[in-house]
Amino acid sequence: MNINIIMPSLLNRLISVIVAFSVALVGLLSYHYERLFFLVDQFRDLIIFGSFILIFVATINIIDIIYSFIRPDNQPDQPYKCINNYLHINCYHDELYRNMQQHDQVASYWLKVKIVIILFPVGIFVLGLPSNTFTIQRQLLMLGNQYELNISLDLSELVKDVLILEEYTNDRGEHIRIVKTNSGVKLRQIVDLSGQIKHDIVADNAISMRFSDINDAAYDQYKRQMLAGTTVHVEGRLKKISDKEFTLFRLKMTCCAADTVALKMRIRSPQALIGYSDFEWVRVKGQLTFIYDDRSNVYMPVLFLSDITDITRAKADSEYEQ
Amino acid sequence: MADDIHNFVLIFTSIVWEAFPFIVFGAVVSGLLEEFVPQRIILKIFPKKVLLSIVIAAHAGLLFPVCECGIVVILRRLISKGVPLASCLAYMLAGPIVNIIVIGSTWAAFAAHGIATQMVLLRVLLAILVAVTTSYIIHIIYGNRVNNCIKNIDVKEEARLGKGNQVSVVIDETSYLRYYILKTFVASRAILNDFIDIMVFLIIGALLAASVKLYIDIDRFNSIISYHPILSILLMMFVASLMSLCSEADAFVIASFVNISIPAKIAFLVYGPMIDIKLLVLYSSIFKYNAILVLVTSATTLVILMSYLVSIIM
Repeated sequence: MNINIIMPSLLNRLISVIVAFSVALVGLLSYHYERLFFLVDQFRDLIIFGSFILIFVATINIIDIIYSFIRPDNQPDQPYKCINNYLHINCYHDELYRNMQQHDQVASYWLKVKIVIILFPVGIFVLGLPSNTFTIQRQLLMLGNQYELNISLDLSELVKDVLILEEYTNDRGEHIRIVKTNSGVKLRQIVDLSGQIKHDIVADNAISMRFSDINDAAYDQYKRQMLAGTTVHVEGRLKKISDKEFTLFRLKMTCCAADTVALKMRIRSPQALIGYSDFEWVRVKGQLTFIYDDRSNVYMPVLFLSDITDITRAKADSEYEQ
Repeated sequence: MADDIHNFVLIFTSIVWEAFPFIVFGAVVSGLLEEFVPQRIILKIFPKKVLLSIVIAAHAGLLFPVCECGIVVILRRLISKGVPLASCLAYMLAGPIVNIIVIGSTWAAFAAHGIATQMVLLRVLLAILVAVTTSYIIHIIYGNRVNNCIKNIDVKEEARLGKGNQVSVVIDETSYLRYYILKTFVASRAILNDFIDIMVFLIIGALLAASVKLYIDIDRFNSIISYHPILSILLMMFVASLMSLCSEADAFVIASFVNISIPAKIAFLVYGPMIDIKLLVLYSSIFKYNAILVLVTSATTLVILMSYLVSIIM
């Protein structure tokens, strides 16, 4: 059987191999230097896997190239497929074979264009880009319009229609009632000897909660009832709305930075917050409640702080929650 | 301006590197398919009846899960091996939605909202209907004239009819080891070239998608979205095609927007994995422009009609 053989230009093959190696290398290096912050953990592992497979394939290609030189009769013994534009699966057609010279030139021109395009992500890596999060303007855009919720500042307002959980008199003779309001906030009502009434937010032992769990709970009536009144720890970035009301937010990605959404909740503090600037990372301890916001028709998670010192500076381990 | 570049590079890089492993896997599968799986076997799997073959292909994702980017590589190979175009198309359109991983992620995203079951069922059902109908339309229009629809692929007449054997390697038949080594070499070339080809299209697609995404956020539309059913469906489809999200992640993005009606969310979830900027660029590596036009028109019309039907029924 007579076989027409197309030998792709050696240079083109070498270039392809080198490009594959450099892409795989960038994948491995990005993983090693923890530059893959724009992907979730599972996808980072896939990059390692993909890079190694690519290196393996490129290595076989190199062996193939070397083999084509040391082949004893220097005669390829099977039809070479036109590899530059691989869609020509059957490019050992007579006609194509005749046009081979021209064809190879065109293919080689396109290969150069392709190489330039593929080296784009490599170049980005070499430049040390991207940085690990979006600009503040874009994060603000993700947050959307943040307006003050209609939450009563006056705790004595909240205490009107309540469920009494506990009632006792302490050694100083103060009468203390622990009450739960309609929205689930636990308050301490202290009536001292002179008959003056004072209200506090009850701070229990705090449990650490994931931002997304709290956000998910806001959509579920059962979970809202279950979690309301719990004291929780949450980490996030701060954005002031008014003196005593802030948004706490954090970015969450499902697969990669391209699908980032902002998770948010409200913080209500008894005193004005001083000394913190917007977008600072904080750890907040507060009592969780869910308040219906009739402007956006959703329940919004709100943390009531018992004291301003419940906000501390703390950096979360990762910019994004996964 | 500097801010835009900063965000652009972040989005672009994350799209490219997220798809990278899937393109490598896709290229490996397609290279091995090319060299080690005889065409007769591939062709035998597909039933002779066109519609039946399309319907089966639309469900194939349940057995062979794929994502939008990885599938394009494999698809080129399948078409060139003579697998009926319409079946390939059905797999390409439905595969990224009708598979266990995406069903699971859709479920997880809507579980907190208490509408997980209906969202998953509607999404899968609509995806299958749209994929099957669109593929059948392509079949009616192009029939066996595959070359009118596919770019560059030189489908041999006998290959398409399943007569010939594509692998025409002539070697010393006594040496099987040598035969397989040589086949491995050829496969490795195919893998490398498929990888480079598709990466190029992916990067161009990601460049476009990232630059458009800079100006898109659903929150901005949230206030515009009226309760007008068709308008919200159209708007969400438009947003889906601009955002170029992965089918595993899009449910999580849309779930948090409780004000968007369920039919509009379904339109977003069905349309996005079939047609978006990144995918259109990838499709253009296989299909001629007139075929893409038919594909887009058909899918768009169907998604609008079906989502509207959902909004009437609900």
